[in-house]
Amino acid sequence: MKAWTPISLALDRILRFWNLQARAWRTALDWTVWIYFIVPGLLYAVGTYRAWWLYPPDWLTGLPAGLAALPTLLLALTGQLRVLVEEADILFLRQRLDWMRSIMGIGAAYTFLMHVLQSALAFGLLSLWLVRIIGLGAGPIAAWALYTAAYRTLFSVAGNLIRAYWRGWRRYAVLTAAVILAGGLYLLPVSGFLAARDPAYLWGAAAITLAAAALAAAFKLGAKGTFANDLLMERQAKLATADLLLQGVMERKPTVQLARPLLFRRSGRLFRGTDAGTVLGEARIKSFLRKWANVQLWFSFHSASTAAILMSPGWLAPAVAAVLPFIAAAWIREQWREWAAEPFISQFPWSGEDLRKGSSRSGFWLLIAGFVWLAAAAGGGMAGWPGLPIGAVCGLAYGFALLKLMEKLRFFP
Amino acid sequence: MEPSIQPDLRLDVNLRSAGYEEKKDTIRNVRFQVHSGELVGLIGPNGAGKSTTIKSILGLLRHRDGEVAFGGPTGRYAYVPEHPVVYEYLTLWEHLRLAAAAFGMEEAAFAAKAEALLERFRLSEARHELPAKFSKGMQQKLMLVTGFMLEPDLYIVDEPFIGLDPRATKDLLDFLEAERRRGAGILMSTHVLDTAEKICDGFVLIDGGSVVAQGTLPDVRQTAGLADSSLFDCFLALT
Repeated sequence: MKAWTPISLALDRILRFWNLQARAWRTALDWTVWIYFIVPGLLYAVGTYRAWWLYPPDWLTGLPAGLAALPTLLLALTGQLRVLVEEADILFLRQRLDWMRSIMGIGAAYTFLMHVLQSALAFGLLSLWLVRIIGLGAGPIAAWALYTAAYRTLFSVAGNLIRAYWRGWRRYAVLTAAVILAGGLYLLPVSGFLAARDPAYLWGAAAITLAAAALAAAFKLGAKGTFANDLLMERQAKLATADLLLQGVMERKPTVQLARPLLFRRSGRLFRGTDAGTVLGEARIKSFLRKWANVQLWFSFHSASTAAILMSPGWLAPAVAAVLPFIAAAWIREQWREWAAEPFISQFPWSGEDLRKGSSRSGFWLLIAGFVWLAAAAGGGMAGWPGLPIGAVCGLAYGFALLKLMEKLRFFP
Repeated sequence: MEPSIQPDLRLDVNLRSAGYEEKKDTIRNVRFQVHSGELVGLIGPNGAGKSTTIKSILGLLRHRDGEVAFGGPTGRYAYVPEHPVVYEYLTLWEHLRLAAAAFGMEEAAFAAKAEALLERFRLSEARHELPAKFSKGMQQKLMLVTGFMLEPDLYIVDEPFIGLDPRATKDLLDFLEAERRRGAGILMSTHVLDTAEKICDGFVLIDGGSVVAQGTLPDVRQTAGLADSSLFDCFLALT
């Protein structure tokens, strides 16, 4: 059995990290994905790249040379420092400063190595533009790639420290200022090089940035009170692949978590009634409106519907405006079912009548605005500005009647 | 770590302020000591600042104004958090080996000591198992065994009784008592006041980020103005 040293422990953690990433990708990339998507995709991409290399497309030749700095700027400002710490280090390893500094130092070196590889790959792809269009040679491109890799490492250390030292809105403010400042500084030697075509700008910038990155990393290794943030960053790095694969599926934690909601900040009432059905409906409306994803979808649906109405010929527009709200109603009904089944709601012994009243009341108020909106759009499309209020009134009447009928027919569960 | 303190002191805490954000103190003027062989209970309601105090002691907070000094022959401490943290991919034996390597323990000494500890803690059968499969009590024993092997001068134990059955609780109390006899100091944060009242030599009662009472139980009773009352009653009176 091996005897641990800081180096062996750090390397072990790097290997485990890659093992974890490989396992995550293997779950998504089975042989069917390879055969039907990745291999054909790669062949197509390589073929297209080769064709563009031999016969550069007009849109590429027309791009200004300075624009080539933008993707490199993005690369320079999006790195993440790896320090290879783990939660269990708090038990005893953290007391050994020499071990922790060695492990974190290896993490920083690994970070730089990865940034060099990522930069090489990015500049390899950008070579189509840099070599064939702008006419740069291998030397300047290598200098630019090295400069970008060093800058990426430097900014990742800065980002790590900013996240450790500040919280809440101050963190975002400082990060934003840092991005703006760092972006401007990055572009100085790049723009100098592109103007003068002298690679000395980039080699010099690379040397300075490498030295600065080394100093920043040394400062980071001696910084106090950053362990908790380092753990968080390491966790995010480990879960990055899983996060990417699940981003269309999992609901994200909000970027800013508020202590009080933006809407109904004093938990105020919407309706006068205090019966169970009314209170339930009120809670449903507040829950719906306080969840940004719901509001976003509601607006997206009605915006797309508006476009459909305005594109419809005159006689069809009112019919489209009359039918589309049924889709919204079906969605609201499903949303209600999910919400009513949530553990906190379903633990209470609501009567069938309470649930129906809550559902229909909340459904009415969540849908009526849509009826008015779409009918106004139809009216506006048919008769211009005067048609807007007429359409809105018609939509209100139609929506009111239809939603009451739906309530009678027990459309809302 | 801060330099030299009295020989029998294992922990000297002098925190003027500490918090998670600059100029937003979560705790203020928290001062107490833990001596050799002493078990000090860190008591307080939820949100009082107990966890912040512990994090300040462990150097996990960026914003800390004050001094924390660890004493004893080696100045080492062992931290046993409320929620077990282990290296998921290392077996129990490998946890001990890593701790031994980090503190320069010779291989022969490590092997002998680890065997003896596993035997004493009834963990010999599980030495090559991964701790992710262990119960909470076993994971806690793993953390304690790792600590014991290094013979720390101080234990910082956060809510150790939560999730433990009565036998595991007794085991824990026995282990801590044995370490006290060895001369280690123990700082224990807990909500289980009746157990704390029985086993602690002293208390630090925190509320709203400040110390509202400290000392022995009679001292706490005097501060609360409740003679002959239980720690529970003093807690309710003071917080």
